[in-house]
Amino acid sequence: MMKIKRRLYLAAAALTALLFTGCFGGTEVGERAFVQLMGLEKEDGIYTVSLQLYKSESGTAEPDVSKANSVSVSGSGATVQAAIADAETEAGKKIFLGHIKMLIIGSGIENPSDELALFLDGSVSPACPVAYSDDPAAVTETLLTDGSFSAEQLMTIMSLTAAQGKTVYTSAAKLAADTGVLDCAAALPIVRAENKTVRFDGLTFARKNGTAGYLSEEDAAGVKLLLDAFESGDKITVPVTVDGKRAAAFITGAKTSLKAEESEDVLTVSAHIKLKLYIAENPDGISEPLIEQAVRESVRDSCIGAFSSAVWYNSCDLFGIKKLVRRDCPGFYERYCENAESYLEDSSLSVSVSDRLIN
Amino acid sequence: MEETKRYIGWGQFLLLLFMCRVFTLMTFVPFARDGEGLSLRLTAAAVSTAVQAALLIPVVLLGRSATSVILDKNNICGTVAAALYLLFFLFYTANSLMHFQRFLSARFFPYADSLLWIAVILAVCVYCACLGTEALGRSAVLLFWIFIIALAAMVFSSAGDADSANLYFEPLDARGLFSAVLDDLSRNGEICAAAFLAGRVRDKLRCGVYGFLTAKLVLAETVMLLIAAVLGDFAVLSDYPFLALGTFGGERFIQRSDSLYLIVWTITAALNAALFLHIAAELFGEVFPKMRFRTAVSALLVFGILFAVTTARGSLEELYSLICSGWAVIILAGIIPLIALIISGKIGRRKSPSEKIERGESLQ
Repeated sequence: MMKIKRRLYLAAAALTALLFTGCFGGTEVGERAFVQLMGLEKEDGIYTVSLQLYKSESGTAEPDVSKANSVSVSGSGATVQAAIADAETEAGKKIFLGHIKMLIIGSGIENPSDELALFLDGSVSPACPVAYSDDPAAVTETLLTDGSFSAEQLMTIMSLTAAQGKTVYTSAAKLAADTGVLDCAAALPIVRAENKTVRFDGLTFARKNGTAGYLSEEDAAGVKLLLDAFESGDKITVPVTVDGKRAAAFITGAKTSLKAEESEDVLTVSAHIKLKLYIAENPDGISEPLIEQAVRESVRDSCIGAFSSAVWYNSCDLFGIKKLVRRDCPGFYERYCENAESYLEDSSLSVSVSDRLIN
Repeated sequence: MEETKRYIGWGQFLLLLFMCRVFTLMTFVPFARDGEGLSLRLTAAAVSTAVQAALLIPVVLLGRSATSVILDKNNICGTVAAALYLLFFLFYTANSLMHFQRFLSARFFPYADSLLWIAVILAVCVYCACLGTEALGRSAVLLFWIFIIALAAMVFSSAGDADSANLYFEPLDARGLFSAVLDDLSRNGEICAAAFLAGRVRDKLRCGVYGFLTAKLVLAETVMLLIAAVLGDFAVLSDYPFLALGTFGGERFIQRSDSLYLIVWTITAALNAALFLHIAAELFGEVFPKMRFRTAVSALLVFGILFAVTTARGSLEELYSLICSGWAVIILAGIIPLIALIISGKIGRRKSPSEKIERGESLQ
């Protein structure tokens, strides 16, 4: 009898949980607009958000993968929330930000740490990548096909570009911490929309008071290596020329360790990069040690190029030098913080590269 | 038969208290919020654990008789102690539920009525508390494995983002360390429950107590190191760094592990509050032996405390902080059991075979 009673109670509890779900204050999936991409810019104190939303073009839950399955809307307002509310009216649905694939910030976003803070309270994943565009609306309005929805294709393009060392990922969390709490800088991929296509074109530097500077695709590999952002599956192609003969090698693995040292009030950053190499093309039969040496030199040049552009010419601490000083030279940290720009401009970089050839 | 059903193994005892600590750790990671040095908090956690180990010595020495000796019915001190513990456990339950409600409101359901959440989870806690220590102990074992899987998923998905540059160690100052240790103690209120669970532990109480302290130290240090390494300075910007850690790895494992975190955290919250509610109800029995519906009355009082604290925040906050403070933990977990141990005259006296059995020790 007791057992039957207990089962009845359990069944009643289960039924209550099942039948009453969403009875109060729920929003049906069909009434929600799932944001895939969000562009954010500011002009004359007015924020403009441009949103790319998911919309199945097949009319069923299964999207037609040959179509974009996306629409774009925009809104503007004195605050970011007001702009989102404006876009919500245009979309005619409640906006849901939890599935954003990428945030694209444009000109006028001077303090990304503060202006993105409202997204980092849980509405957007802190790992969400952030990119920069001169015209974020153009990117969100470019609807790419191939893939379940447009933003998926954009993410594929970004993954491929990053895997080849032509750009780097910067998460919303890293951007907020580096440009906010740490008062350093972060590298943002530049995304451009032209002729109904979207492509990534080098990097820019975000810091307090805005985004400035440019680093070409060639030097982006140096940023990737110095940031130790090489992930499994990445493959950077390094073409080399030795005595007029050509060859190409793939970097299939890289591990970087950075260290800061201070001597006579001069900051030195040392980087040691360990590479895994694979010789991809060697039609002229160059000896392997010569190819390895050429790749090491190329990597060193790329790192010095990236460092000089960011640190020496733009005083942008892209590589977490402040954190290195805090960890490695705690006695120097306070002095460094007082005059960081000057120390960065006068700093020196020492890069050592070692490699292991994989056949 | 009924009597043996109430007992729990030392492993269940360990995990029951451990899961209570998991709840506070999932909600609050101190160094991240205050921007204090990692080294200070890592050291504070270790020192605090050593203090807790010392505080729990009287409970371990009292063994299974801890509850009856501390709450000695023939002594007015016993009744006063019962009243103090009752007050603490009611407030500590309210504290846990308030954390639960704040987290849900801040992160998942900002427009929902906060008192509704509290009422719903309190109802669940009343049911769980009525099932008794054994059921709670068994739930803790199950929940432990769910938590380990969730933690492994978080570690697996976010470890790739760890950066050794985020791990820096600053010199410690004694004053900062003292306040950090007190702060850490205030978040380890579950050790006060040890005295009330000791009487239910079948054997090897000492293993349970010190195993629990070791396990929670390892967990706290691991979580703090992981948060510091992965989130770095972003941890300062995040209200719930443990949750941020879960959502950080994103693409590598599952898109957003918020739901996983929410499930584990909700069950842990229910277990944590149910245990304290259960102890509060038992304490009501000590103070008012003829009282009926003790768990329901305890739950109503907890609801009342929460209602009062949320509506009249400013005036009650100090009292609330005092009762749930590190000092309260020191008094209730260590000093009162020590006084009880001295009064009972169990120090320095050779143990009789019956006492050895009572303490779960071997007779060899």
